[in-house]
This record gives sequence, C-alpha cells and structure tokens, in this order.
Amino acid sequence: MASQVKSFSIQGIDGYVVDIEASILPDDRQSLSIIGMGDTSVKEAGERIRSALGDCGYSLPDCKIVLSLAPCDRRKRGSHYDLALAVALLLQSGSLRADRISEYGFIGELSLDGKLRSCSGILPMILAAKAAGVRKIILPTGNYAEAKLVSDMTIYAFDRLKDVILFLEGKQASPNPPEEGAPESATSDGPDFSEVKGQNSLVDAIVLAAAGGHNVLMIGRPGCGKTMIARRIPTILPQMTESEALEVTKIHSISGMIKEGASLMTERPFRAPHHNVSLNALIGGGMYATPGEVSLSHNGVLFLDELSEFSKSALDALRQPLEDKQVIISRVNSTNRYPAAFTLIAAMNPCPCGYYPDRKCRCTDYEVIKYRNKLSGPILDRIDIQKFVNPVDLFETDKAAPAPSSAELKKRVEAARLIQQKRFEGIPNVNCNAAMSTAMIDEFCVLDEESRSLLRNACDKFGYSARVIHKLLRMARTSADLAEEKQIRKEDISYVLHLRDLDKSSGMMGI
Amino acid sequence: MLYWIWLNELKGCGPAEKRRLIVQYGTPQVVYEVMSGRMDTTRVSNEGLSGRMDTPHVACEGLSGKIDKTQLSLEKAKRILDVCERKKIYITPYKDFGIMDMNDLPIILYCRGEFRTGMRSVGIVGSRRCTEYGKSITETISKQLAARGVTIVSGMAKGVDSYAHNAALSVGGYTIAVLGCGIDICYPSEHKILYESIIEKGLVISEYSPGHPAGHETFPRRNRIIAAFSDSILVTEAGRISGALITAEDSLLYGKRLYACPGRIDSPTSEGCNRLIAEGKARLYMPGDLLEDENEQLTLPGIFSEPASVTPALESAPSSAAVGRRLMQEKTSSAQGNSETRVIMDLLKISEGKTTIPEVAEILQKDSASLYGVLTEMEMNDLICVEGDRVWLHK
Repeated sequence: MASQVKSFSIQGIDGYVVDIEASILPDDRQSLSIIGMGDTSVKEAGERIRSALGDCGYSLPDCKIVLSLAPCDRRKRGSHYDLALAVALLLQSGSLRADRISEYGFIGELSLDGKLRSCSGILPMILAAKAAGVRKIILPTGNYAEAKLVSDMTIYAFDRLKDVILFLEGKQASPNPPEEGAPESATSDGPDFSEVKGQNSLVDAIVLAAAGGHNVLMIGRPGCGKTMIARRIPTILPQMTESEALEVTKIHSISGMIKEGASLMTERPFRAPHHNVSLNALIGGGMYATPGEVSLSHNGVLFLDELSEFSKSALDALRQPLEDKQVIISRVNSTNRYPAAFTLIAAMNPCPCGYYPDRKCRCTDYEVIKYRNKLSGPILDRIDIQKFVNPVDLFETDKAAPAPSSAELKKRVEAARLIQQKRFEGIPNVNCNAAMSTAMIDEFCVLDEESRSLLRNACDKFGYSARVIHKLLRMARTSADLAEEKQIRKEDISYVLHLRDLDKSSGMMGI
Repeated sequence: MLYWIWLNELKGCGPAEKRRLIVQYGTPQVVYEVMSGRMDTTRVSNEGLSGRMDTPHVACEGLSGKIDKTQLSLEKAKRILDVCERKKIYITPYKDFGIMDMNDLPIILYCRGEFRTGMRSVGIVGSRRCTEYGKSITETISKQLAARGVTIVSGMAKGVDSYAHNAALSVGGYTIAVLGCGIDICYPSEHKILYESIIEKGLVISEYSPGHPAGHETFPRRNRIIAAFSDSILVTEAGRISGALITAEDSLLYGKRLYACPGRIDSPTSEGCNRLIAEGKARLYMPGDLLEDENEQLTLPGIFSEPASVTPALESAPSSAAVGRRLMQEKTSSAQGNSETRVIMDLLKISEGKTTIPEVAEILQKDSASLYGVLTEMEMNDLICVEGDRVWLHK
C-alpha cells in the first residue's frame, strides 16, 4: 500500500490540499519519478530529496520509486512539496515509523544538505489546511511568522529534515517556536506628507481623492514632485481592516513577496511598475497564472508614472480591473480570479518636451493634443481628478507654512470615509463616492439653484459631457463630506471645477 | 455649370486663355461646341462677336493643335457635377467673385458656405509652427478686425491660419478659408470641427474639384487665391522659409497692401516677417492698422498696453509684500463685495498678466482653499484663466 502525506498547492489566491503518495516497486535499477503535472521545479525535487536523505543517512534502494501528487489533473509548481515527498518516501520504504501522520501537513523546500528552506504562498496554504481540517503543520522556520497569522493551528517550525524525522518518530520534543523579530516600528520614519512643501492645492486634491476613492492624474514637468506625492498617498489612506490586510498578505505571499520572518502586511501596498511593463505583468497571467501589479496593489495604490508611455494594450487592459475591482485570468485548464481594488494614481508630462505651458515649450498645439490623445478615452473616463502640478520654487518653500502631516490628513480622510460608509450601508459593491451609480448621484448629490446654475454655466463654457458632469458631482459630494456638510454647497462645485485641468487646457487650444 | 467645369478642367491652356475664350464666345458652352466642331465658327462670328473681334475662330484654331480630342469628353465634368450636387457644393464663376479679377485666377471656384461680397477683407497668414506670441497676436488682431465687420481670409492650415479663423468665428465674424485640396476634403483632418463651423458661419472655397488630393503644387496656388481675395495681407509670424511668404509675394504682385508683425530680431520664427519689413516690402503692423476708422484706438492686451490703471505708487517694481499691503489698503477702502476681484485683477496687471494661487492667497491673506469661489466666478466671467496653480489674464 502506498503511503500518503499532505501538502498544499495554490489556485488563484486560494490553496487546496494535495495528497502526496509514494510507492516502491521492485526493479533492477534505481529510478525515481514524480507524477502529477508538476513543472520543472517539482521534477527536480527528486535530486534534492536524494541528496538531502543522503545527508540524513538514508540511501535509496535499487527499486522503481513513484511519487504522485494528487489531484493529478491540476498543474503544480514550486519546490515546497520537497518535504512532503521526502517524508512520504521514508514512510513507504519503512525507514520512518510514525503514527497519525495524516494529522500533519508538510510545506518546505529541501537543500542538498538536508536543510529546510522557506517558501512562498504560506498564508493561503495554511488557510486551506484549516478548511480541510488539517490542524498541524510542519514547515521551515522562516515561514513561522506568516503561518501564525491563522488562528487555531499548531505550527511546528524546523531547520533541518533530520529534526523533522526525529520529531515524527517521537524521539524529539516539539521545537520551540522561533523568536519573533521585533515588529516593524510604525510608520514614524516612513515618507510623510509634511515633507511636501508648496504643493498645497495638489495635496488638497489628493486628500479628496483618498477620501472618495477617486483616481488621479497628475500632469507636470519632470521633477516637480509627482512621484514624491504619489509615494505618500498610502500614508493617508484609511487603516486596512483585518480582512483587507489578510487578503493583501495572501496575494503578496503567493507572489513570494513576503519577507522571511515577516507576518501580516499592515501598510497599504504601493506599486509603481515601469512604463515598459508587459501586459501579463500588469494584469496577471503566465502559464502558471500569477497576480499582476493591479492585484499586488489591491487595497493600495497603483502608481503609473509617464502614463502616456505605457503601451496602449496595457492601458486598455486596465479597464476591466478599474471597473470590476478584480481580474479574471482564463487559461485552458483553469480560471483564476484575483482581487484588484486599487486607487489609480497616474502621472504624465503636459506635452512631448515636458514644459507646456512654459515659454520654454517648443511644442505646437497639435503635438500637445496628439501626445495627450495617446491616452484612450475609456481610461481618461475612469480618472476623476486631472490636476496640473506646478514646479516648486525651493527657495520660497522655507517661508511657506508647514504642510499638514500624514496623520492629520488621514484623520480627515477617515472621517469622510465614515460618512460614506453610513451613506452606502447595505448597497453591495459601493463603499465610496467614486463608485456611485447615476441613480445614486440623483439621490445623494442634490444641488441648490445657485450651485446648479454655476455648474451649468461652467459646463457650457468648457463643453463638458454628461459623464464629466457626473464626475464633478461625485467629487463635489466628497468635498462636502470632507467639510462634514449634508448638502453640496456652491463652494464644493467651484472647487471641483478646478480639478479638471486637462479637459480645460485641451479645450482652450486654438484649433 | 457643366461646361464651366469642363473648361476649368481643360488641360493645355491656362486661366488667362480660358478667360479670353469666354470673352470671345460668350459662354463655355459655346467654347465647347466650337471646339468639338459642332458649330460653325463663322456663324458665331456673324451672330454677335464679329464686332469685337476680326478673326473669331483664331483662338480656337490656335488651341486645337495643343488639345487632345479625348479632352472633348464631358464625362469627367458630369462626374464632378454629380458629386457637387450630392455634397451640396456650389460653383461660382469668376465674374461673381466680387473681387478685382486677375488673369491667373481659376475661372470657377467650388464653394461651401455663404458667399458674401463687398466687405473689406484682410488675409491673415503665418507659419504652421507658431509660437505662443504668434498665436496670441493672431487671435487678438483677428478678433478685433472680425468684430468690426472685416472678413478674415486664410488657408485653414495648422497654426496661424487656424487661430485666425477660430478667433474670427468666436466673435461672430465672417471668415473665408481657401483650401489647397478638393473642397470636400478636410485637410488637416484635425480641423474637422473648424471646417464644419466655417461652412456654417463663413465660406470655404477651393479651385480644386471634389476629391482632389493636396500636393506640393496645390498650396502655392491656394496662397495666390488668398492674396486675391484680401484687400490687405497681414503676416503675423513667419520664419525664413514659410508658405506665408509666398502669399505675401503674391499680394505684392496683385498690388495689395502688405503688413507684417515684427518679432524679436534673434527669433528664427519671426525672421521672415522681419525681413519683409526690412526690405521695405511690408509695412510694420501697429495696433489699430487695417481698420476702417483710422482714429479708433486699439491696443493689444499685455503687449502694448500701459499699466495705467495701476496705482502710481506701485510702479517702482515693488516687492510682493509691499504690493500686498498696498492692495490690501485698496481693498479695505473699496470695501465692496467684488473687492477681491479687483485686487486679483490689479495683481495680474502689475505682474505681466500671470500669477499663482498661493501668491493671490498670500496677498489676500486667505486660505487658498477659500479662493476657489471667487476664482471660478472670475473665470466664468472671462476675466482670468486658471490651470493648476497658475492664474493669468484672459486674452
């Protein structure tokens, strides 16, 4: 009878249990094969196991050894099956006698000298174990902190295969949990909005964006502070809830981006892919589908610098995640769903030479319009705030009043979010003003006569479409929420009219 | 009109010769019939032309050697006429142009829009790649002239041409666009909206039949028509090599008055204009030129105007703080609801027409967030433009 131990695999962002079986058949020559649709990293496990077992004093018999990963019809990748494969083999050969082996789940990569190496994707695998009723997990020391995030689990962390064998044979007591590293100090030394000087109006627009979940496009010459501001946006976004943090950690865990020994991600992610990013890297994909940048920035900020330099296909592919807050990657044998609820912050130059509307600018109106038209309408449609960023006179900023700190701004954002959560209670998929449907705009964005006529005049003057008017209304709602006002005021309308700089500027071109 | 089109398309003789034929035989139809030999040339001479010319058939005989018999087909002209009818293009013969006729102008023009004659007209031309300066003076001058009933003639090209047309339309003026391609083609295609609105409120003309593509040679010929249709020509900005200079030369040949806007002597984008002035070909354009009423005083905002409305105490290059104090005193003295507007306008006047929101906030001693109300109002009233933090005077 074949021996069986449990390990785990990942599909999308969720794990599932993989049963690992070993069988030894009589043969003249020694051979080892691993079946079950594994990729190269799985196939090569054979050599690692052979060598690691050798280090522990075992040698493989002259037999045909078959190791199987079930379910056999699903593709598997990764080196974290090594430990389970080795244990299954030892059990089957009779070298290891252990009771209640089915109570344990095994995760870990083996080094050639028998050490255990940490792996990625721990969190979803442990969650899958819990769901399947496997309560005891044996894994490498480096993964202990991440595994501990799941409650009601018994985690045994080891450094060497030898120790695992001794523990399973009952010759060694359960190991002491590794010392937890000091939790990373709170954001005190991270970037802070108080360092952004002389950009108060832009910071106000960013606060509005953070409060209402609006996407932002910053337009300004190189070096005027767009990236600096974008980097600080996560610091004013409201604190992640426990479930949000868990989901973010899961995605980063699958992508192998959780540092060894690190546990829950409490800070919102900030991702800034370069503009030559491939479609699959941005959206997610690959033969063994992995999350893309949009999913890695789930619940955080996706910053696209030089927006107009991104390939058209990459930008257009952003449309689905911006709309549905998730990405669905379909492959022949599987469909993966990755969450992608991010705030899009984009930056671009105002014109090809970068200096419009300065006298230094050598571009004609035509070149400027052509450059701006590189952004397809559907993408611009999903961006509420378009703000020109002016270069800062560094010598003047000393005199300027101190800029508000991230903590102050965050308080305002959280207060406005609270109002919105109450407003949208019970409405699925809407948790902020930016997500309001047109019916909701009619309900929640009622204007008095004065504001209405101001908005109408402005839209006539600048030729705004109905869609832009809806955007303006959503933003005005957020502006009123920030001021903790029940009604949208005339001030809110006149303020948000200053948040569509690109429309205005392109409208003023003389052609 | 069929025979007019046929004659216009006829190769082998130029517009001057075609004019002569029309004068000789009365109508293009007669010309056609004479050429195709259907009509006895002697009969024509007997019927009324004999008084004017001794040997009426000489012109045709001279031509018949040059003209291929295949050109006697009316097929092409019929096709063109069909397209014209379908696309609501009408054809104006040269006698109805309403301008002093020149021998080298085409004998017909394809038209869309309303043909108005008898108005003073100014051709405004310049380079396609123009600077902010060229754009600003073109728009200002075009608006001033068009608002006073002057027809603005130009070529609907990129740059200066389009600004001239747009500015004229924006003040409800009449403008004529002369195309260098078939009348039904919008070239450059970016000007679709401009093209439509000129047809609606002005006139688009072309000597080329519908569908004729734009080419190297079509634009210089187009420039000639611009010159012919204008009483005066103004070159607002042109480099050393520019199509606008061809228009300028043409206008001199036609005896039109030529003006040029000078630019900085070190600016390559104004080299052509400066040269025209230096060589004595063009007059230097001064604000108020080209108007009916010579006494009307006109200025260009921000360029020629004196900061006269500003308090004299501010003239000696004051520091921003001093300006603030001074303006604040004014503000308190005026004590009106629109005092903020006045302070901002004064600030713009002494700072060359541009400032920033933080600067305004400092001078008014207010939070910049509370300024958006008044700024929006001023923007709606066309006093200023606001983009990002920049604020500048509306032109």
